[in-house]
Amino acid sequence: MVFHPRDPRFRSLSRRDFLRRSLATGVALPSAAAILAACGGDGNDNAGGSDGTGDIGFSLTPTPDDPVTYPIYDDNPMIESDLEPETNTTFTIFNWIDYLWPKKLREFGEKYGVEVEYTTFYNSETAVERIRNGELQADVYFPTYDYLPRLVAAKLMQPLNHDYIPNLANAWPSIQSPFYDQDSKYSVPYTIYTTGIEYLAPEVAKAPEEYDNPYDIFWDGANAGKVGLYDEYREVFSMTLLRNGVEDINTADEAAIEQAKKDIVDAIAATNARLTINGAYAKLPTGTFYVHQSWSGDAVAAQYYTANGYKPGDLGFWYPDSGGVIGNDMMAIPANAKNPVLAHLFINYMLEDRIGLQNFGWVGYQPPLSSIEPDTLVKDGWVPENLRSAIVTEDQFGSNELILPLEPDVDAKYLDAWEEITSGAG
Amino acid sequence: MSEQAKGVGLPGWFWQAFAAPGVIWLLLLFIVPFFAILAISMGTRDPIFLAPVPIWNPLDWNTETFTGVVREILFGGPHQVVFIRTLAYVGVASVLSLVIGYPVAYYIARHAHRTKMILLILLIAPWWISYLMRMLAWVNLLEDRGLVNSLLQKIGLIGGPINWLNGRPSTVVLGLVYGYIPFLILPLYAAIDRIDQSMMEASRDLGASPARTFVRVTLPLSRQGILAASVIILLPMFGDYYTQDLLSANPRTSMFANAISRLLFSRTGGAEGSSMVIFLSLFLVILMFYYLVSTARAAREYER
Amino acid sequence: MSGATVAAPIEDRAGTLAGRFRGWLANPWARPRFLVILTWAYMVWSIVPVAFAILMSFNSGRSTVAFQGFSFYWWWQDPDAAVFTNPDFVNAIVQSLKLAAGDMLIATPIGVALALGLARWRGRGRGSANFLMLFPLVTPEIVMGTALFLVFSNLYESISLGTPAQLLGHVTFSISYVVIVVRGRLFAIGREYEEAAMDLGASPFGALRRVLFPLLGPAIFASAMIVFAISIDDFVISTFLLGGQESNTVPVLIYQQARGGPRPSLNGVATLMLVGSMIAIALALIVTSRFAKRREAGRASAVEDFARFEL
Repeated sequence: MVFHPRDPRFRSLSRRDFLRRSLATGVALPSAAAILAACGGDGNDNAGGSDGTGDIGFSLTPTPDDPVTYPIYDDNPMIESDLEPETNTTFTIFNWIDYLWPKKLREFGEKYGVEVEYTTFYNSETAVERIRNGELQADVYFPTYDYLPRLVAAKLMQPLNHDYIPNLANAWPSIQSPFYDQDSKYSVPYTIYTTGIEYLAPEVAKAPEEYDNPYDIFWDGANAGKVGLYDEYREVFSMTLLRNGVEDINTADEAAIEQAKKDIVDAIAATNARLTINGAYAKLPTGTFYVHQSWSGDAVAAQYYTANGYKPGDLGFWYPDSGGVIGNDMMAIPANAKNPVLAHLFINYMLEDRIGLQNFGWVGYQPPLSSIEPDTLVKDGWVPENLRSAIVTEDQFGSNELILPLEPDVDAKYLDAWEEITSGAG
Repeated sequence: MSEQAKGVGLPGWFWQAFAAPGVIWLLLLFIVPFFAILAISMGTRDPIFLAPVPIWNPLDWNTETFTGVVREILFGGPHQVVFIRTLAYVGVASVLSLVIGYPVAYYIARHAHRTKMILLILLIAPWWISYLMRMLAWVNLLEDRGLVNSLLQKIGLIGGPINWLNGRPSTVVLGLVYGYIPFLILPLYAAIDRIDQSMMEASRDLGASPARTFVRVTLPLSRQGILAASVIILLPMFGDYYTQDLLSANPRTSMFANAISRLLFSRTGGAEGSSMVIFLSLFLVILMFYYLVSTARAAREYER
Repeated sequence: MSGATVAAPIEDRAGTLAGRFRGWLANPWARPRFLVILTWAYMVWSIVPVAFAILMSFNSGRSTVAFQGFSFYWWWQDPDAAVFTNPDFVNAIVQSLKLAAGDMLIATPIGVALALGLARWRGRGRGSANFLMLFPLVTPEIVMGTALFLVFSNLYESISLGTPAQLLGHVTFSISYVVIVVRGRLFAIGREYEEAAMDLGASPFGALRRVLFPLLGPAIFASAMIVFAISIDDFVISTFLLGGQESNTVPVLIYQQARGGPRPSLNGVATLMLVGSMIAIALALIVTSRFAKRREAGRASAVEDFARFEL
């Protein structure tokens, strides 16, 4: 699907908003053919199906079992080492709205004596288009892991010169060379988040951990009228598949999808579950919902949205010990960046422990840095004790499932099933 | 008539020039956008991301998506369920609106002499109150601890609070009625008001009872008005998605327009959504044409 | 013939209750009680929920269902959730007003010119132009919204979604309203005044400027007010052409927050828009009734004219 929660059609609530991440799996690119045509100019087939291994040299749909190492192209080299940062210039960040603390950007600008600018986009489609046609020469861009392979194939991002980013060592070792970009050639991680169950402890009949299968809380009529799910087909299906014991949330198995569809319809029938995109942080803390599917960042943010007599201490977040849903965002440098040296320095800056932590406090989604530990976060008051499970740890990155882009025909199955569910026809 | 009055002094294009800005605006921002719907619906999908890509040349149009959507609506599939549900809701809501609205319109037109002014103002008022606000008012009233539940409990009709806002078709239908009935009553009032009183007097003089007069004289004479007023609310009701969203938000009661808006803003469903819009437009075109023709006819009566 | 006289009861049934009831029914001109009750019941059902919502915006407590006392707390006293202190609310109000003002300023002149042109056009194309003008009035909003959204996303890409697109969209559906309103007055005025002016030596432009436009004034003003009110209340087009949180209008805001546990301040924002809309329409009515010429005797009031769409 598609909708990044920052996409205005689904936004709500105040500017002090924390970013809602939608798994922007598979972003729409109107001129994808043109993009891939930009790569090398010749032999530009836009890769027949969704998997362009043939002409490109690597898979466009890497998985943890099938990781990808990007090549460095001759006509898209990395910058030289030991260059001086640019001066007398404007440094531009191109990001989702409210996904980076402006103060940190300002401080960076002051450090290097340059003007800074924070340009935003509200969906990846327009973002990439602006980069591709040269309208915008951003210095740092924030892609998603399923999009990165295509951006690299189209030579829209430049390879990173690690001499400038020693702070990459601060990140979790396992994420320094992730499956979607081994050796971090074109990207560095920015935030990490999980999808779990958020609930109002004093209101729910039973907390998730009290069920034999915690996900069953979404099927329990005891909370009828107060249940929320994400209006995002991959998230809802993933949760249901996991509940049904299907570990592969990207499965193409028709029977599993069909069963999941029936179960989702049952859940909606039993609990009158509503589909929202901001319910976890905007509506659950005010009592509109008692239980809601939630990204970890939403749960952390929820502590600031309590009302109607509820307190941050009433919030709870459940996440399985393993086999849950996890995801992450990253930073990359466009090939046409005006200030590539500054861009490298900025990435390095954001990977600094102190800066990353402060940014987390504002954005709500945590960076995968080794120094950020659950104990410190709770002790220092970033996250209340009752939401400790919303803090993501490194071992979780290896033992949980990522929502990966699907082959078009498989995707179509999920979409059709979702259509039936949302039409009340299932 | 003097030479000048005939407009001899005016160049032939004078009045056209006045109309030009409006016409050009409407062409660019009303007609062309319709063409964009066709271009997306009959367009292609980009092969990697399956996002809709418009095709502007009608000769290259690909009707696969559109025919697929129509076939599904007519012969079976989730969209058919939604379409039939929408037909049912709109049908019931329209009938209810007429049943409530006609007597009210009739009363105001025919009988409300001293109170006519006030009633008319009250009738006009909802036209200028945002639809959203009127729905918000009901959302407030229908909440668990809202006035409706507390009143019903106080009277003793129900034991505990009823959850009105969670996927009840009746709530949605009544919401539609509440929302659109003002748009029906006012034109209906206008139509009934125009009926010549002498017709009814004549009928009475000839010995018909009031009931008979009503059925045999008033009703047929107001038929045109009933049809026109019904069309005025049927068109927007078919395109309504927000009433359902506010009063229910449950897939069980989702309407055709909900499917359209969901598909339109999704990554891959743009062509499907556009096709559904085209289908809806074709379906409503009969109603639209009828309304256009009768409005044009009425407008022509003004010209002398 | 409004009568209070009761027809002579039918003799052989005079005494019985049924007889008297039938007698009451038999009177052709007495006001049927049933209709009276129904009509007033309808009015209550129609207006009271909104009145109640308005009342709750002045609630002193947090609730929107139980009135706890009159207060302006939710209007400006709460530091960041009141109507005038909540940045989202204020932004939405400003956005609504911006769009409405822009719509008024652009659509009214275009519409007036179009009305004149259509009324006076002689020759080919007039029917089609007329049809083109009527079309937006009958098009369901979702169709227009879809069309505009797709065209701004795929064709007129230099016009970004958000305020620019919303403004253009609003003007597009407003023009026809202006034409309808102005045209009625135009036909009522007729050409005599202009012709008289031209007979007396005025140029065509002069006749227009000094004779027609002043006469048309009230209608132009009324149509501008109607455009303002329509624009403020618009929901579908504004939603489809949203470009970012900044471009939320008040109806869009209400839609987004209505199911999220509304607070009295949300009712307050809605009330504000309602007041704006009502004032605009009231002004339109006042100006029209004060300056308009009575076309026929027997027209009871401008309100009636308005109700019959004959301004």
